[in-house]
Amino acid sequence: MQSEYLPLKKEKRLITWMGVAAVTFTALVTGCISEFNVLEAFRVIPGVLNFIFTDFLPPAVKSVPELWPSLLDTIYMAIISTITGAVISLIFALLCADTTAPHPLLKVTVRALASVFRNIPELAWTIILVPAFGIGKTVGLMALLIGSVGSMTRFFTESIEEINQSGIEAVRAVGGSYWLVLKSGVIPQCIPALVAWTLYNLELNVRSSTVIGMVGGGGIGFYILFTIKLFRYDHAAMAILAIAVVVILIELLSKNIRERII
Amino acid sequence: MMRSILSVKDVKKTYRNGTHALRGVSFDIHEGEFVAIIGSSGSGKSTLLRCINQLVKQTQGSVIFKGTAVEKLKNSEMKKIRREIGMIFQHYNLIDRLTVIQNVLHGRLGYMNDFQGIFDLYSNEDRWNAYHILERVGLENEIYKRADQLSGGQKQRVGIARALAQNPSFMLADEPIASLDPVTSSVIMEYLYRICREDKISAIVSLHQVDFALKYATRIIGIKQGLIIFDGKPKELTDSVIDQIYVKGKDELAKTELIMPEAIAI
Repeated sequence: MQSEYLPLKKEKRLITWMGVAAVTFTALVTGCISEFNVLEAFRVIPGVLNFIFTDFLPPAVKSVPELWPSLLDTIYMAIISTITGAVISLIFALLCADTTAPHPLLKVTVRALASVFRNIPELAWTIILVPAFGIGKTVGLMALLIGSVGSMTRFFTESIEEINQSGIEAVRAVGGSYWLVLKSGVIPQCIPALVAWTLYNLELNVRSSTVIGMVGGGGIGFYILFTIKLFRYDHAAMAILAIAVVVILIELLSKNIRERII
Repeated sequence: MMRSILSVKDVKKTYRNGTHALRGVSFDIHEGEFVAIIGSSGSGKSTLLRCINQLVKQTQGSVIFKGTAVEKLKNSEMKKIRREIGMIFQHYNLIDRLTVIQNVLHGRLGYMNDFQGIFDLYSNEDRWNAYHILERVGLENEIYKRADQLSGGQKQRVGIARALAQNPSFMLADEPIASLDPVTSSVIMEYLYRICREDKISAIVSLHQVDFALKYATRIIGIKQGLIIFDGKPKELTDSVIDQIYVKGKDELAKTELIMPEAIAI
């Protein structure tokens, strides 16, 4: 047996330590600038816990009938924006995936549009749209739809670009037109990915519709804001709990569906 | 002399990355011929087959199929040529998530308009024809199986069935047995050969295995670095010619495996 130490890769100690030093330095500098104080963070913990346990807990179970309509609104908003968004996104994705784009100019345009939709947060979209639509569900719905189209276009595009090109070659070889290549070659191969991304987007939409509600998008978020302003924290706690339950249920459902569609 | 069905005239293909896949290839195929193209990986076989049905557009030269220069065709006319030319692939190129019979029916897409194709409106006649073709290749009990549940040999039989569903007068087979074990390879070659003979389909089959070429081909074309270096009867293919076809320079060895997949994707 050889006693000499066998390294598993070329050791680059110096670079490693320089990296650690750089990260530490950056953390210190940004911490100072933003006045982040660890002690302060620890100091407020008892106060926060006290607030949570006396004001928020226990959740007001009796408020369920009262928050129910708002919760349903949120779920409806999430579902309709996801489904509509999925249809639009599929069209967009086919227009801008490298493998299916009918025209380079169209590809760039659609990509840019989706990028704008995606990179402006849904919260900002709500604030932008409130003057046009007024406070309420319509605004929330529009913001969710725009955000969904932005992100799902990107997910779908990548899914389409990832599929096996050989099946597509075969459909071209039999004389299939552009549309038939899409229908018979592209779509069947990427359906599992499309469904998975759509379900994931549904989860995201339930979550973000809560925040959107708080800035004027209606639904359960608006209800939470309303109860907090009236200092009915136990009602707000019940609403937050309800959202958590809905999100978990959707997660379970989507996991189940994804496993069935492979 | 039989009628010429396909005429390849001085076809050259240079890919965007600068690879000269074909450097001027000419030959005629006559009705009833079963031509084997042999050559090492990267010699240009795949590109040549794909220029015939224009999956790859040549840089120069002409491909004339039944009197029509295919490189000049518009989409609608191209469809009519492509549906007459069946194609079989090394990797079968089935749509994995669809059933066997759905894959076979794809052979009919060249005969359908977009509306019919998008809504799967295959005629009852087409459906039964597909079934009978699957009977011919011994897969009538697997018609509702998903393509990804089949073995390699079964997948290639589906590939053959799909090509047959086109009711083709010409067949291109791009290394149809290169991914199969020796026994399955023999079975598939036997199916391919027998079907082409029975249905009077002329064929070009690219192969790695010289023994299969010698056994089945009525004529052998040897290709090396994008040029034809042998074109003749199987009995004329001497060992020294075979050596010449398969001997490679060092440069070529280095680039062949890397370049071909990219070339096919275009």
